[in-house]
Amino acid sequence: MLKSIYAHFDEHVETYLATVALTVFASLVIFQVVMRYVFNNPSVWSEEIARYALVWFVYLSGSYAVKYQRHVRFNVIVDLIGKKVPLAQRIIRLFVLVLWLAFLIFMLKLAVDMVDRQFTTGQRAPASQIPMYLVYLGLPLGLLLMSFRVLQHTTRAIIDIVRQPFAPIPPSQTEVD
Amino acid sequence: GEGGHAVAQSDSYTIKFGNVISVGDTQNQGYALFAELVEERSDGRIKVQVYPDSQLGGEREMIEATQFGDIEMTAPSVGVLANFDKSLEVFDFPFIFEDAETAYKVLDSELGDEMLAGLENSGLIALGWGENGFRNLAMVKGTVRTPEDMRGIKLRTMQVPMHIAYWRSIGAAPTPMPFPEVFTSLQQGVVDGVENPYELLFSARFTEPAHFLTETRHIYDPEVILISKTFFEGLSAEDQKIIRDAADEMVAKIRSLKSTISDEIRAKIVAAGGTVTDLTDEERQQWIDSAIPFYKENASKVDTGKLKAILEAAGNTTYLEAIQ
Amino acid sequence: MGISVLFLSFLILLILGMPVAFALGISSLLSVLATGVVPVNYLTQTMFGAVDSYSLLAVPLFVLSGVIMEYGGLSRRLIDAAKAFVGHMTGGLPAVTLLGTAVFAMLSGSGPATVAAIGGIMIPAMIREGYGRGFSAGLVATGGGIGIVIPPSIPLIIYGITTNTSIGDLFLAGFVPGFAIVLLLYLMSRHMSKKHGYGGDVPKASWKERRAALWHAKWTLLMPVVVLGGIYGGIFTPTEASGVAVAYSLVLALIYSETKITQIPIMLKATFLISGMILVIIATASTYARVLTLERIPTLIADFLGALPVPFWAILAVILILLVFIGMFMETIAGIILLAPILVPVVTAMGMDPVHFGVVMIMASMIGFATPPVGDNLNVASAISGLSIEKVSLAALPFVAALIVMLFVIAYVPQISMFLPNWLGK
Ligand code: NA
Ligand code: NA
Repeated sequence: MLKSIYAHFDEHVETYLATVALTVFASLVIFQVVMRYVFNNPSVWSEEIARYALVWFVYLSGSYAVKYQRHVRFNVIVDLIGKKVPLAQRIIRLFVLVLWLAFLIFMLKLAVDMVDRQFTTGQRAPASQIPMYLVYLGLPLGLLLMSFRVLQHTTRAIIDIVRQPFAPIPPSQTEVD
Repeated sequence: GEGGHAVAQSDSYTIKFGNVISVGDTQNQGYALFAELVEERSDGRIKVQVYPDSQLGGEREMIEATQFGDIEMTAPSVGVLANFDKSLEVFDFPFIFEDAETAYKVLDSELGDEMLAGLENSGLIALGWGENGFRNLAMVKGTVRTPEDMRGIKLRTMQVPMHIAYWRSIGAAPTPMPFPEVFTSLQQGVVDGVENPYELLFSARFTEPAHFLTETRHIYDPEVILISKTFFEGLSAEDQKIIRDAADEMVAKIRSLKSTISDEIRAKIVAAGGTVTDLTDEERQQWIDSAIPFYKENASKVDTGKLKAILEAAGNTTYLEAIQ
Repeated sequence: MGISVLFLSFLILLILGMPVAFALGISSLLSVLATGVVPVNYLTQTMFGAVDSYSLLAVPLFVLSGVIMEYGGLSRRLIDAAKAFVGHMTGGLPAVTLLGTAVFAMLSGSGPATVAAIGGIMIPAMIREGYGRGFSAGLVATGGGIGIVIPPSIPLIIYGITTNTSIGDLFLAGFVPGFAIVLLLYLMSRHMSKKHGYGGDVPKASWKERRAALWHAKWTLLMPVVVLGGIYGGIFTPTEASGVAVAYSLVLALIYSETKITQIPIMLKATFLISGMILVIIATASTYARVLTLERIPTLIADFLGALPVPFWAILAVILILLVFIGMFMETIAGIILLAPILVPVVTAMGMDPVHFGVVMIMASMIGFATPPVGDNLNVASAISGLSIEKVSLAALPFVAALIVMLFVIAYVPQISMFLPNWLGK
């Protein structure tokens, strides 16, 4: 039971939330054109809410890209090292993951502080009057999810080092000719 | 971090002053003077680093950064700052001031000081009233002379509720739109016009597509020179005085530059083939009257006491009577 | 101190394989911790503020519309239409590839979406018809990047936001250079096809078949008219155009009914992966750029370049070489956010229009897509063709060389870019 809840969370947490955010801002952008052009009655708050949905979307989809390792990186040198000394590449990989995780957790703490400050000042958005701390919440949430994803990769990297420290590292590309 | 700014008297330190104004514009000339004076009078101990052109973020972002002591100074327009201190919303009401002299008289009075002091509750100390200037109309298709001409016109406004409410009340279609999209939108006709002070209209090149200008002076747009409260209170009395005095001189300089720049820009616009229309007394009266229903409707939604006090100080009996 | 921490830590992190987006974030943090130029809280504020932007909505929306087009059968129809017209020519399939890419580029703002949509179909098709595997992959890797020069274009939008330049003007300025590049790449691939005897005989389509293919693709071909016509006809802004592109491609996907409901999650996931990658880079690259600004580095570089006792054309040449070089290593969006604020003041001070320079920067980015070691298109082309990155890079080299020559031409002849905005923009 617990396992299947975790599996569901692991599979869908970003996609559910990001789908909501995407739907919100995509509809608002179109709504805005229709209101202005068809009804000659421009919307006052649609721009603001669309922007805030985007902020949430950035870090949610960013976390999804962390899950699937889609963030652009420069692999050439590390791959070269890996061909000669697989263990060295494994250690570098683990080091990068740990550093990455440390960064995310540090930023997460700062982001939580930021939401807390917004909560204290009680700021509201000018047009829609949404409390600003809710808007800012997208950042710590995204950082939390990214930390979770990097932690998953780190665990896998540790298991890989323990189980097969010297095995050759499978190439990321397969050659044809 | 914040709060850690207690600075001993002999210490040298840097003040980061962020703003959204273009490099050559008059406000930045004023800020440069401020930087020069502070540095000179502190024998080089206090450096003021000015970051123009939104280099450190947008107005809202920099107000927050100043509030929390991430940067030391900024100078936002009142429209955005009003979200941090509601009483400033009164400046979003149209046709309060007849001319710049009236505005100066009110802002420099005790009432003006009182309004600036209100910002302390938000962790901000206001060093003085800067100036964006009077907002005027710039239209793409033809000159606007009366409020009647604005019917159905798509006018780009700031994301400021009271601005939007006024234009809507006279039958226009106010279109809040982010600044970077305005130029193209004017050019392609997504909006029919825009309203900003002359200097901004010109430096953002809005007057190229929108070259039918009307000097409506519908809103006087002060900006507020802000310094972080935690930072400022950690300074020695001597340093505080250096900063305050330099700020006073900066404000005086901005005002004197602003008084000549409008005429220069009007001449440039006309030379480039545009037109600038001054309203007759009768036409201007029509504009003033057009806002009476707006005042009746909205006076209760803001700090009404402040609004009345401002109107009274500005000698504006029309609206005072309207909202009694 | 701040400068060295910023640059060195970034370089080391990149070499170790830290994703670019996070290498930028970590070096910003390290530099701020080392110098105390600003409290660390400022970083989270910037990571929020940098993406709290209305114009930026165009990024995920154009990515989404590109993905819908790919899954909704729109790219297939485009290619069929292109084949009916240019398939029989010498170098026929390369011509189809380039024409297909050019038209797809007018529908989509996203480079990766263009490469995936056209390359996925055309690389296997060319290999089947006897074109060299390397030639096919190299052509798509270079030509696929055309999507960012021909409007609408996400990198042009980012440039416009970063430098406060009119996005509508930038779009107009991209048209002519974009199609000039298509022509250049066609002439080259035709020459190479002749030399190597590539290509079977695709029979020349009759006018009846051409009409049928056009009719079949009519709604797809109408899309640039809706999206670009809407922008220049004053109906919506470039940002809103991205929303309209999504709506229009959704309607088409429904009309064609090639998409199944079960594919919607797949399309959404593809959108999240591409936009998540682009958007986080925008957030951290902006943060890095702010720290650079706080350290006054752009001013120092600009002053240095501006004070060089050489004529402008020489400075421009240095800038172009620099752009191509940095394009080898730098991810496109990050490169624009970091370099545009430094270089634009330098070139405008010397009389170059920021709109023109935008096209130059975007064209350098297009070249960077296809140059190792960091090249998005090389990865895609390598994955589709089954060749190693090294082999694809080598195969792309002749095209890349031609594009570099073209870059200089476009940089030194402003009329190529500025003719349209000057004519239509007034
Ligand atoms: Na495009
Ligand atoms: Na590259």
